[in-house]
This record gives sequence, C-alpha cells and structure tokens, in this order.
Amino acid sequence: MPLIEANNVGIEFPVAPPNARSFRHLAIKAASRVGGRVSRSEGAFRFVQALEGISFTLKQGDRLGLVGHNGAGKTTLIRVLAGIYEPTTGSLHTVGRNVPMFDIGLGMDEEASGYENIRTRGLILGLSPEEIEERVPEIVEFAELGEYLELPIRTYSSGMLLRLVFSIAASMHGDIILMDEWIAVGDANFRKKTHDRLQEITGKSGIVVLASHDHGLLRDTCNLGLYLEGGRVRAFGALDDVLKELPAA
Amino acid sequence: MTTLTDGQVESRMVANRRRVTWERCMTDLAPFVTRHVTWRALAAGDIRSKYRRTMLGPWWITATNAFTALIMGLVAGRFLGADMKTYLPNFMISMTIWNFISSSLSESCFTMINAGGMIKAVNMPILIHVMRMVHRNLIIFLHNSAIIPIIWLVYPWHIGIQSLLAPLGLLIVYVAVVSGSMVVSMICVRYRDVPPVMSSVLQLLFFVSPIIWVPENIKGGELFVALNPVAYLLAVTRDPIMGSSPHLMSWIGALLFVAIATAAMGYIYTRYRSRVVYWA
Repeated sequence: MPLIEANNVGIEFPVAPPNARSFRHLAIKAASRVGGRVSRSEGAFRFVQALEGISFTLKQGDRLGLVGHNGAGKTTLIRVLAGIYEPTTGSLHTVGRNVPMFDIGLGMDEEASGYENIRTRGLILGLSPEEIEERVPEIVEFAELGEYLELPIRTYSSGMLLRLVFSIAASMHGDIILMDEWIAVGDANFRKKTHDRLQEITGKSGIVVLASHDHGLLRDTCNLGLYLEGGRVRAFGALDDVLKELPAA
Repeated sequence: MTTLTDGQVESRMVANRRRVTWERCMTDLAPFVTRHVTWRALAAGDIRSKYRRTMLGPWWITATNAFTALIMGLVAGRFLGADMKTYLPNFMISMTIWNFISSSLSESCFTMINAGGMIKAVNMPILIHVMRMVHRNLIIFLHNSAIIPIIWLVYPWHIGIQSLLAPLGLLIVYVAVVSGSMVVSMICVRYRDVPPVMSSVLQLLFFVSPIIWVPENIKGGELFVALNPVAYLLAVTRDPIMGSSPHLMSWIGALLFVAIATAAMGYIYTRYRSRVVYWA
C-alpha cells in the first residue's frame, strides 16, 4: 500500500559566498586558524530555509493539492517527495514507486531519433531495457507521431516534442504521482487526450501530489490540501477548507 | 531505497550528519551492481551520438590512434634513437592505457557539474553520472586497443600464457579509475577551482610515469616507478600483453593502491552524496 509520511521535514539550502567554492580559500582559512585567528571577513555561508517543520501523512487514495505563493516551497517539497533532496532535518518515509511528472523533457538528445530518446528517457527514469521495450507500442500509439519517430528530434516542432515527452511520461506506472503544475500540451485534440490520460493515471494511482494555482483543477482532482507559506505548513486538511484559507484568488 | 517482499519500493530518508556505517555504504554503493544497465546503455548512446553521420563511426577512434602510432614510429626513431621494435609496442600500449586513465580523470572534473540539471530534477543515484563517463571512456579504450594487434603484426613480440592475465590488470585499472573519478567529480562540484589543478596533476603524472621512457634509461627511473601508483597500474596491464609476467611487487602495489582508493571513495560517497544536490 503506498504511503507518504513526512515528519518535521526541513530543507536548508546553503548559499555559498563568493569564495566558499574556492579550494584555495579553504586552505587559507585553515592556515589562519592555525595562527589563532579565524578569518570570517569573506562572509560565512548563508542558509535559505526552504522548508521547515513539514509533517503530514498520505495514504492510498489521497490526492494532495499543494497551494501557496510563488516561492512558498511547493517545488522544493515536490522534489523532496521525489527523493531528489534529502531532508536536512526530520524524516520522510515513502512506500511505493514514485512517478515524477515534472521536468519530463530532461536528458533528450537532439540528434537522436524519437525511438532512441524514448529509450534514453526510460533509462533515466530507472527502467530496464526490457521494460522500455514493453512500453514502446503504447507510447508510439499515444504520441501519434508516426514515422517521425525515426527522425532526429531536432526535426520536430515544439508541439511534436511535447507530445513525445508527455507520452513517455504518461507510460510510467507507479503508485505515487508527483506533479508540479498540470501538464497541458499540444493542439486541442491532444490536450483532450492529455487531460483524459492524466485523469486516468491519477484515478488509478495510489497517491497524487499536485502543486497548482488553478483552484478549479484542484477541486476536480484533489481531496486534501496543503497550504505552504514561507516554507511552513499554514493549513493542511480537506481541500475546500484549505482553499478557504487562501487570499481571494 | 529498498524493495520489500511484496515488490513495493520503500524509501526512508532521515536527516542527520550522514554518519558512515557499513550498512549505509553498502546501500549507497548498491547501484554499482543494480543500475549498471542504465549507464552502459547511456554511454553507448553517447558514443553513437558523437559519431553519428561520420564515415567511420567510432572506428575513427582507432584510426586516430593508429595515426599517432605511425607518427611515433617515423619520428621517434630519429629523435630518441630508440629501437623501434621494442619501443613502439611498449609506448603504444602504455599510451592507450594512459589515455583511458587521464581522459576519465580529466572529464570527471566536470561530470557532476554538467549533470547538475539532471541531479536536481531526477532521483537517480549520482554515481550513474560518473559511471556513464567512465564506461564511455572504456568503450573508447577498447576501440583504441584495436591498434595493438596491428602493431603486433608489424613488430611481433613473444606472447605467452601470461597474456591471459591482461584482463585482470585492466579490471584493476578500471576500479582505480572509477574510484578516482568519483572522488574527483564530487570534490570539483564543491570546490570549483580544482579542475585546473587536476589538469596540472595529470600532466605531471604523464611525465613521471614510464610511458615515453623506460626505467633503465632514466636516472632515478626506478625510484619514480616505485613511488608512482600509475606505474603499478601500467605494469599489471602492459606486462602481460608484452608477454612477461608482472613482478609480484607490481601486483601488490596496484592492489594496495586500488584498495585504498576504493575505501576512500566508499567513505566520501556515502558521507557526501546527499549534499551534492545542494552544491550542484
């Protein structure tokens, strides 16, 4: 059964002052400490507290809508749930394979064909070559790119590329779907396909976390809400209650 | 990330100072075994991509190496007064192995830095980025070493049963290169002025290693060879190919160096790998 348990999760980003990335500076600092004087004139590391004290539990069937201003920490939290950032305080326990539905175009090679990029993307997402081959017919059918898949993707229009990228992302099977804003791509026809497919995916999966500013979408998709402000939880609970806390949209 | 008995994937991330325990180390290094398909396929794709639309494809690598051999053969004879029959094979084999070591270490400076975008966007064990680079260089090495049988046809040397030890030597070099690249790439993400240092170090290593010279001809050559880890790595790989069994000291030196390098890599990776995303 999929599960997400966040317990007092905090993320602190170190922001390096100009010389902190320099090995030479480190050596000089070390030497001056030996002499009895610690040089702090160049400035110490500063820290941005992106998240603080985030605690919540999500179970099978929960669909969480993440809301908050720009910079509140929604993207950071999504990436913590994806396992990209390890918490600097607290702990996170997840059960279930998570499917990231953000940055879905990463790692593509312009000179390689559509088919080759499907394989590359699959490898990056952690699939084995056999698993990728199993999914290829489904991806090909959904993308509706036909023979273009044999051509290098630099020949694609941006809309065609988005179709390919979305089709690959949509073929991933997992228990926990993480979305940083809804994906709406392509012409009107494909947008409907995308929408239907995403509804299907979020309907089938165990847990969905969706960060969005679109209240209508959130009401359609989510049952729970988390209102982040300045990296902290301002409200967590039933979606309608949480949306009421937001300043008038 | 562990797989539970019912096939579900479970992950527990607890913040602390990342104390290095044996268990943590083994979990963190597990992708070396479990994800090898990923980096091997990505590396093969990189090579295919680089040589797309070229006439010879990856065999250009072999061709350029052959050209180097030809030039050395024609020129070195006059400059160094060396006996080509023994010098050229020795030089070409040493050079091929050295190219693998130096290009891996030099590329490793920028591997994690360049992968920064992917590190911050995808949950992939970061060692995969380094392994992809090393594997790419390994493929290039294998193409380069296709020149060796050709040189053997021109300047044959005696090959005995000891030559079967060559893959073992290569394995030792491979492990050393992986450990070194991993450590260097992580240091370079954190301290951005290390890459030029690396480049100077590699230059120095090239000249103190028995590649263009042999110990007998250089004053103090024996000392350089005794103190230089690269010399041990070269010895265990080159000597079998040249038909002689590597000295016991070479084996001991090489294995000791690799053991230390791997232990250091294991420690540094386990301790700092979760920090890399904050440095990238």
